[in-house]
Amino acid sequence: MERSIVHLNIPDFYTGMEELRRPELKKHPLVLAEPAVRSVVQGVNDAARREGIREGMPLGHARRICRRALVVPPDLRFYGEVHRSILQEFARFSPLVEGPLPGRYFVDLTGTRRLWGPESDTAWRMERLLADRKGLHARVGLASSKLVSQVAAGCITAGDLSRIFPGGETSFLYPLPVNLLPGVGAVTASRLADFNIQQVGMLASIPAESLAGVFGAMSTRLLRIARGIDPTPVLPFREAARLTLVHHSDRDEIDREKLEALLFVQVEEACWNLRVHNRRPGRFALEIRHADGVTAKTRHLLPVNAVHIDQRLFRFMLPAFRRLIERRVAVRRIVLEFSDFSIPFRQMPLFPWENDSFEEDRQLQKALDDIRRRFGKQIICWGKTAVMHRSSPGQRDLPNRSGPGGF
Amino acid sequence: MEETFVHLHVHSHYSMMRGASSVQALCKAAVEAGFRHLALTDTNGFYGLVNFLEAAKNFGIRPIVGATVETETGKAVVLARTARGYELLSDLLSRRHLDENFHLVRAFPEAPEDLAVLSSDPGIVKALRSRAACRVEVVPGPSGRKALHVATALGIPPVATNAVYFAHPDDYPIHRLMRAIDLNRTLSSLPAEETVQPGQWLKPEAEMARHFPNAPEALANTGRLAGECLTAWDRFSTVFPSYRDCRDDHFAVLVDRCRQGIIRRYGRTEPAIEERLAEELDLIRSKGYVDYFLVVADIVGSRPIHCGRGSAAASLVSYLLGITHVDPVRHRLLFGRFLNPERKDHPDIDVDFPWDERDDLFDEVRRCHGPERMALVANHTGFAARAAVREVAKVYGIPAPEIREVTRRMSFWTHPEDLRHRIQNHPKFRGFPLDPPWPEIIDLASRLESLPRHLSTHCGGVILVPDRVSRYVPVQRNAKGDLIIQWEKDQAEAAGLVKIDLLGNRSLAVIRDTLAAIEENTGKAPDYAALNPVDDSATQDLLRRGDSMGVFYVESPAMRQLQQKTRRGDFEHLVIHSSIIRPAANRYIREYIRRLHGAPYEPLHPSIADLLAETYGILVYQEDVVQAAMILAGFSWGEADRLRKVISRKSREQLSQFRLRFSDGCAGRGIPRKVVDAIWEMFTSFSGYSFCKPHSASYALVSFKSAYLKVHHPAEFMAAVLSNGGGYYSTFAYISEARRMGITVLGPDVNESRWNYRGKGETIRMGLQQIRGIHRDTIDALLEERSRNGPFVSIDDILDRLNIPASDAAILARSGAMDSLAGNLNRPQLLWFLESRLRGGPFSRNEARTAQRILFPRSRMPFDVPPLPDLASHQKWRQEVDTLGFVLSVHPLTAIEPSLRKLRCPIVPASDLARHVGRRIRVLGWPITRKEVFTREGESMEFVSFEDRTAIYESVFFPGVFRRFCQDLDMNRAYLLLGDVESEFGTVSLTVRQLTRINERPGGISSGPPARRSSRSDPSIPLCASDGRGC
Repeated sequence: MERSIVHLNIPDFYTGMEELRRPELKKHPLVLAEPAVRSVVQGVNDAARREGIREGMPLGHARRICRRALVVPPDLRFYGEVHRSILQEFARFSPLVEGPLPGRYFVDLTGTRRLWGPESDTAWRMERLLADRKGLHARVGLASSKLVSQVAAGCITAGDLSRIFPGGETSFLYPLPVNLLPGVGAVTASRLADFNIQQVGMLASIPAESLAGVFGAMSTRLLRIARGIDPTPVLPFREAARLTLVHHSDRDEIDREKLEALLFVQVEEACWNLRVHNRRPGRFALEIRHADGVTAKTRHLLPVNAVHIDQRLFRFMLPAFRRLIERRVAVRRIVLEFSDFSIPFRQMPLFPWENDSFEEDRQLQKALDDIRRRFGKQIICWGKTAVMHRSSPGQRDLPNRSGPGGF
Repeated sequence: MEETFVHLHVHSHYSMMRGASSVQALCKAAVEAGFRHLALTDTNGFYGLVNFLEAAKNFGIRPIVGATVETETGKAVVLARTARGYELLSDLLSRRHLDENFHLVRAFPEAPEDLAVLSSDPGIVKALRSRAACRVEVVPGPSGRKALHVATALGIPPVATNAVYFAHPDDYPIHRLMRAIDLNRTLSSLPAEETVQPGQWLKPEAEMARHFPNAPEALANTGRLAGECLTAWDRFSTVFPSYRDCRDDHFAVLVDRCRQGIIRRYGRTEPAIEERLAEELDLIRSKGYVDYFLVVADIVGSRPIHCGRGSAAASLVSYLLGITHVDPVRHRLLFGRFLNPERKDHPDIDVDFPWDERDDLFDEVRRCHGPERMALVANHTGFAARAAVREVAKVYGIPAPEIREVTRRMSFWTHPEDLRHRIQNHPKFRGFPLDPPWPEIIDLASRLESLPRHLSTHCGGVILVPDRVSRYVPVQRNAKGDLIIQWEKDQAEAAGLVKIDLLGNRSLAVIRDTLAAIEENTGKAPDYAALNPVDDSATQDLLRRGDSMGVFYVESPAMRQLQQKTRRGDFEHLVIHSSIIRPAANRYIREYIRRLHGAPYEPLHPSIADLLAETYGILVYQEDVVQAAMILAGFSWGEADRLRKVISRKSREQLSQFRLRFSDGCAGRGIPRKVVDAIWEMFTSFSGYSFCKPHSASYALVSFKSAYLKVHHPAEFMAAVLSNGGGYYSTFAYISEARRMGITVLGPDVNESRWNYRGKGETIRMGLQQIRGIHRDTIDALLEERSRNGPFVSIDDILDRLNIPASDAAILARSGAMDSLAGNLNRPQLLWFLESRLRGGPFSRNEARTAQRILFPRSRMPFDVPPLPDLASHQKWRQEVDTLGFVLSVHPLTAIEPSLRKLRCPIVPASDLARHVGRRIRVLGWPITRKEVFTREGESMEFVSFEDRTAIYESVFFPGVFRRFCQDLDMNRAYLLLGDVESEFGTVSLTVRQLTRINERPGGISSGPPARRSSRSDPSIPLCASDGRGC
């Protein structure tokens, strides 16, 4: 059976969300960025893009380019909710709906003709549904593979539909520039430019052996995408249970003690929730975003006994965290995530002294929890978190001769 | 009365990246704390010793000389008790740096009377107790108590120290900051063992006593030991190089060689020459310079292309010995500027050599005089403004792009002082708020001022001593492996070490290469020494026109404009011009030009009318300042020379003292106040830098030689300029100049190009040196194979004969260097072929393994090259930018032609500016050089040289326009300028009113980057790569 994959691409999804919430923003160049001083642009609308502002640009730079740009903090939770609700809307049309990124959707309409009618009508209905219910317009591509439908959507404007009929893939793809192909990144595009291979058709026409001589193992994939061959299935979205805590600093932080204190606070918060819900996580993931946008991640399994007691869990995570923050660049965001939950149980210790130390920690934790439950979370805290309230390393270490304040 | 406590273990900031206080700050703190003695014991060196002795003298402190000898195996403070102890310690420190297997105990000399050792290491103390006066060092804290037990057990007196690293407790954070910078760490991740304790400051006696209530003898012993150490380090003896000759009477040798010089230079002697020679020889002998002259003469004798410069060019002896080449008698150069009975310091002789010959020259000198007798002078490299900001920002974890955004706005800022003030007021920081933590960073950076960071090598200073250098000052190795002394030039001079400056000069290499090319092309070339083109009319014309790009010393925009305005190309005026062009002398330059063109003027005072007659009544040379001060205020020569030095160094305090004395002296001779003020103001125009006439004359002669070659052998000359990396301008600017001179510049070619650029007839062939990103080994192998077995006949041939890495082959192909071998293949097909052959073959991954390659040669099976279309022009330009650094095929302004078609306004070509004087016009511009200056009111403005396809032109951005556009002006892009054409003394310049960036995108003027496209195929990328100096 011929596959029918529809791709819906909502341009500037994040800013579109904001414009829907506040229609008065529509006329202005709009930039999504954290209110922090040195934050990075996370989303722009079309007007801002016309002014030269791009995603990933430092906010200060964006402001210099366009002083009248409106800066709005991104509400990722809201965007996530909308994204999930769109997925649910599309799930009415097919059980196979994939949302790799917010604003990007693949829906496999194969075999739905008798139920919904012609696929192009269905795709158009989906676009209308988006427009009516969410006020969003998408570029819609319909083809026999994810690859071609994605390229087809990329060639039109929002609110339009491009259908590539089976058998017409190559005649559609061949005149297009090679860098429109998903999977052709800057490096590959640059090498292709050296050989003056501008169009997809030129790339597709090169014999496989010849291409292999130059591009090696990559040549097979290149030829495949150039010829529009993409058998990858649409993978439905599945959400696994996870507990995520995000700390986003207003001021980038380089002080190691403060960073460790921030992590400890996150661990305390997570453990509190885990104890309340009586869950034991099987693994944790740590993600650090530095001030220059570079991120570092690590994932680890958690031992049975490391959980539920703040100190123990923190001690277990600390070496991994220290390896993450070794770079000499300030940290802007710390994300701590727990997953693989199960009902806690405890194995009896083999040696009696192990039990002593565990019991001591458990008792202390219980006492802390009791106090907090009764008087509030802020009433008592560990000494190591007090460091968070002290001044910056420079102010702490070095007498400031000219007093604080910006220029 | 003996002091009860003396600090005997003190580090200054010359314990680099550890000590936080200057020697002045330490001496001041010592005086304030009531100390009369103070030791300086920097780690493994005497880096700041001479400054310490000077500071101690100024503050009335008795200095004790020592060092902390630190190795992986142990650490000890060693103090010099006698002058011999100093020499032994200097030797020991040198061995510490030079001997890889240095062991303190094994290397320590037998010197019980001359050296004292302080250490808390029982092993060291026990081992050295027979060889030096040993004491057990006791510091506050638990380790001190342990050391006291050791002292008691060994029966060795304890000595209390505080191992001082900073003068005041406030300086501790600076110590930590420097450690963090040094170790590439942040403050919070600094290991405790890498920093000292906060209490290690110069504590007063009473506070030290509180630390040692149980060991008063440890405190008292410091005073006793201080009393045993030599503190009278008043003056060092002068150390000249010694000349080695079989004859004992070196003066006779000097006289003989001068006599030979008279025959060579003048043909026969004359009374004026004899008189001058006798006077100079007398002074040279009395000042002890006989050997020095002979040594320098021998050094320059082996290298015919050189230029003796500085005040030594005033010496007839230098001229006769061949050290300098300007006749001091003919040009009336005053020998007194170099040597004078009243001169107390020891002037050195500066000689320039081709820049690439300097290392060989040092080797020659080393071979000739012996490695232990020669060392290079060091530089104490500190934190310049940008480096200080960058390093502190890194400690704060600021990302590199953000640091670059700040530091690029600080181009050309040198001193960290007043950083905050400058940032607050400079137009480049307008609309660029520096939010926290930047204010902290800037404040801290400004506090790093004057802190030495590491040792580097002075650009040419060489010390030659009669015996061994390490006797006088510790030596160590620089990055190249040469011996360098631990002092920079000022300390070396103050310590009596008379240096010889052997400096590298690119223009001398240009002249050498041009002469070599002429000889190769024509079979004969003029001799450098005999080349004296001062009367050549074509050369004078070139200098008069200011067409002097590439010509030594007169190629800067300011100098070219001065030449144009004066319309003088003769030697005498060029000497004046090379000296008058000083930063602080703009007003006098204008007045000079006015008078030169016949404007009447009155001399400042009749008594100096004769002195300044040849310079139209303007003070031009350093000697003018000296002589004017002598004539007007009755200064002695020595006093007047000190005034000259004080003006140069901009020492405000000393300057005001001199001003008073000068005014008094003038008043005593009845000179009106107004005249005194005018002359003093002219004196102050010599601040910063200025030249003496001999120096200017020496350089003017090189300028003439250089200009002569440009006029008569333009292709060879411009090729040599390009080969030697140019001077004031970028490679691209010199190529444009060559084209304006009617020379065709050809791209690189594997069969035609050499390493260097090569000029012949009316063409220049680009050298393979210009290709970026390629391994030097590949080019060397290519040139060697070509010279051995002849040119390459095809691509297969080159690949068979050479083992070229695939990446290098691609670069060669993209640069166009392989086009001549490509046959029917176009550039993309050529690249495809190379990549298939070099990457796709069976042994491509092991191609570096030569043996395997010999056994299994690269596959010669035919490759199918697909029918790829040839590149469009803009794609080829892009490849030129990538591989050569600029567009070679066309002027980069050609690329913006599609954008210009949309403009409705007329654009004037730069060559027609003179016809639009007084009018407001639009002109295209590609910046080639720029210079930011300050107005009298302290506002920034900028002079920028632009070029279009027709000519170079100068432009001025006055403060208002500069404030508006300084952030838009980069070096590697095209601009449309709106401005007023102005003419001064017949020289045209553009006063800019408005500046518009032009993108090279065919779509027109646009500021936005392109949508997702391949970076290499995108024509909107600037068509010139930035190399730091511009395009």
